Amino acid sequence: MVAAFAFRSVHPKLFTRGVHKLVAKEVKEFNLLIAGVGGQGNLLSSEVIATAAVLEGYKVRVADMFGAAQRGGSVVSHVRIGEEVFSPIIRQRGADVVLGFEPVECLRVSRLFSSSCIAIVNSRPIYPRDVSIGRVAYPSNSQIVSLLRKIVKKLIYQDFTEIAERAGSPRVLNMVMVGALAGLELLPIKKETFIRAIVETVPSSVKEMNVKAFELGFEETFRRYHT
Amino acid sequence: MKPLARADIIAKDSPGERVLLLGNEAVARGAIEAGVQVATSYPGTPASEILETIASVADKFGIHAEWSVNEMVAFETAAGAAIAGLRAMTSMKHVGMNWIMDPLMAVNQSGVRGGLVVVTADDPGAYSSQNEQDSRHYSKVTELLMLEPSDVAEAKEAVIKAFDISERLELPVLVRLVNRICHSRADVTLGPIKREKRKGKFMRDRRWVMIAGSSRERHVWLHQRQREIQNIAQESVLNRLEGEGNELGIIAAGVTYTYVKDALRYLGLDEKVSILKIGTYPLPRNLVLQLLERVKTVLVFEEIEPIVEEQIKIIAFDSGKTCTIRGKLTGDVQREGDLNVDAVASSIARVMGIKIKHEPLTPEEEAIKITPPRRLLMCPGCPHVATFFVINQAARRVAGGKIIYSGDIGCYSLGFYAFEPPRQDTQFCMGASIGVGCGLAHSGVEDVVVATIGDSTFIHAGIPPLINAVYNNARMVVVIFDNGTTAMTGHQPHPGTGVTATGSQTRKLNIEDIVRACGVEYVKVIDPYNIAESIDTVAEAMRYPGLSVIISRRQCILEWLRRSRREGVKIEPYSVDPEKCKGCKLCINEFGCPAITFQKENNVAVIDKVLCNGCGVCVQVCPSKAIHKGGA
Repeated sequence: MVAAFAFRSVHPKLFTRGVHKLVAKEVKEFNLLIAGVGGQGNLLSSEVIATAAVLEGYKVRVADMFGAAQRGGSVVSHVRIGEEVFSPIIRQRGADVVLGFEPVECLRVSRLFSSSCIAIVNSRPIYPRDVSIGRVAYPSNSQIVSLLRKIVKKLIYQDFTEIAERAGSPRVLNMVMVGALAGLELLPIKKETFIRAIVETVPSSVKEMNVKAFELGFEETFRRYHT
Repeated sequence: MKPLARADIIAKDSPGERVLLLGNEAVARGAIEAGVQVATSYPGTPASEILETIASVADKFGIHAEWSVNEMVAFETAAGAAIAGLRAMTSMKHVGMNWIMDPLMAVNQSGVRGGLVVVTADDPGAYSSQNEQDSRHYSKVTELLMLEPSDVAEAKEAVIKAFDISERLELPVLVRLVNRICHSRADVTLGPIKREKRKGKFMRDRRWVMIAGSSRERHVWLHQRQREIQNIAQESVLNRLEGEGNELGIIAAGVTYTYVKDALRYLGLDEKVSILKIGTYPLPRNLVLQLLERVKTVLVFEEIEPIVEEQIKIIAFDSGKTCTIRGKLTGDVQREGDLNVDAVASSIARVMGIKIKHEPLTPEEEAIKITPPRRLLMCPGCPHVATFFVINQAARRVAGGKIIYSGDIGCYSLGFYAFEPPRQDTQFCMGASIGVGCGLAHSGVEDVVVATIGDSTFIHAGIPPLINAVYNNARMVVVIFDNGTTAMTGHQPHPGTGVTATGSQTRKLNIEDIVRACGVEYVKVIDPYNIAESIDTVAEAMRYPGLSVIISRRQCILEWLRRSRREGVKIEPYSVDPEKCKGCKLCINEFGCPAITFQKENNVAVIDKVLCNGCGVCVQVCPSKAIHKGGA
């Protein structure tokens, strides 16, 4: 099934070891990490991606890791796809792709990135309390970018919240990020399958805006990284 | 509440279809497939979604689903239905098990007629709990069979099996989950839904009366069941001996089995070891003995306590085996915190004398160094933030700020993280704010004792200690943080909301009436958004020469936002006039709204318009009158 997936020509830089192997059906797992702040909707994005993978017939394991609060804490989702995947948790240096909804939340889980990792990171910060009251400093953009570049193989770092605002609300950042992932076509999951997963997952009143957000995210990376 | 999209998936009558389910949804679906007719619970992370899911389809399947006032009543309700012959399930977080032990320690001897399944969700790592309690101890204490699935799909099957076994044994069956299963998603194959609907029938029997004199013969009966329980364990598909390797025997209980499977593949050791997957308590003696025949060293993985490890030692001793048993007790497996693939891999490598090559993590360590911590906070506009401000200001006025916050379990628990110094000084369990507050009050401390407890927690566990405080004359202030919902676990309704788990209207409990009926003479209701008036009232309560109760009532901001969005009400954020702001930081240090930030370079406070939920309380808090609606 994986081999039957017809993927488009991918930017050569995006051909990382792990992803390439998955497409070639050599690798036994694909590991995606999603890091953000409670309230950004990252749990819904992991649900959409995993639903799409199930619709395509894959075995999927997802771990949603969050603390006690409804809002404001660090939230990390581990999404694992592959026939020989058992645990829902990605091992150290095991993530093939990371979706960073917030810059420092992405840094916080960097021990899980593989050396061939592709990182799609939203540059819009959500300042932790200790930063906003001036107790500690938030790292500068250049600090974040240069560190991430050292850790990952390919970094896409831009203001995805701005794209969400264009789609109608900063609240649909999560679907913009899913779209950005889909636009790279690293996963053997068809665009239509992602859209079907969104339609099946989000409440009906906001379906349209979520699909639009997905489309804008998709175009953003598809346009830039495919020729 | 869950979006309706989920309810459609849960209710699918399409056996064989593969769908993505959350672990807790899989448990709920298992109960539905098994024909559950009564489902009860009290919200608690990581278990809450089980009952929420059943409730979302309860009407469709004719299930009675309820949020009970607490876990003990939830268990008793399920037990009553099972005594009448129905299939019933109660689910809870691990500490809920402590509440049900009283009735469970009698129902384990009376037994049941319909299947009774008790699901407990443990929290290894204590991510959202006061402890890392291991519920498997309760299998031993109650002498009941406990099943422990290793993943989401197995969780659904375990629940179905638990119902069948429970009816066969006429005993409750326990199911242990862990956070990593409850809050994992995986592809699950749907099974057929059992449509048989039983009508409750009470069969009068001496065994339902667990009274002195009759209980001893029931204890004999329970012990007679143990042989059959062992047989079930030995035949259960949840237990399995895998592999042929004889260099090491790995015993992996529950979710740790999945970590072991991944770790062995990463280490390339699949051929060298045998794995005994454990999914029942008691352990399957036959499989344990088979493994002990094969290997000289056994390494045990399990979440939280070394329960399997100790049992293996007993089985080895009884059978005269002299193998080495390693695990948490020997320091080969981490003793506290939740396990994961890396922890399991390094334990296996150490025990087998293999060196794992670690790539250096230099930039990653640097990344951690520059990453600011993200403390848990309350939401912008949270009425609890305002209530804490009011209490602190009143304590300043009345007692020179000398105050002890006797804390409890709920969103206000976050007062520990959100403020400096913390606004929770003690915190133990549901209802302890008032109970421990009584003791603090009688101890002669000079500080004002303020017990802080939420509406749902008060109904769960606050009423008996409040009566105790009245009866035994404890001088303190009890503040009930009434936000009209069980907020921390995801906004479940409770008796004070007048709505049931399935969304139907019911009689609304009036908290003031309850407080007065407990004998409290000083009862006042405040709106925490009215700062000045509220401070006056709380200060008066602090001066009152006896027990006083303040009910601080204002809807949870998240619920309010949801309603406003539904009704199309526009939320207008506030802003700070930099000309008027004197940079006193009262709005940050004393009030502590997370939407208010500080600009060091200009020495002014700034409101983040994205985060601001427009409650406007900061306008009243600011001594310089620098905050106003809109602008910026």
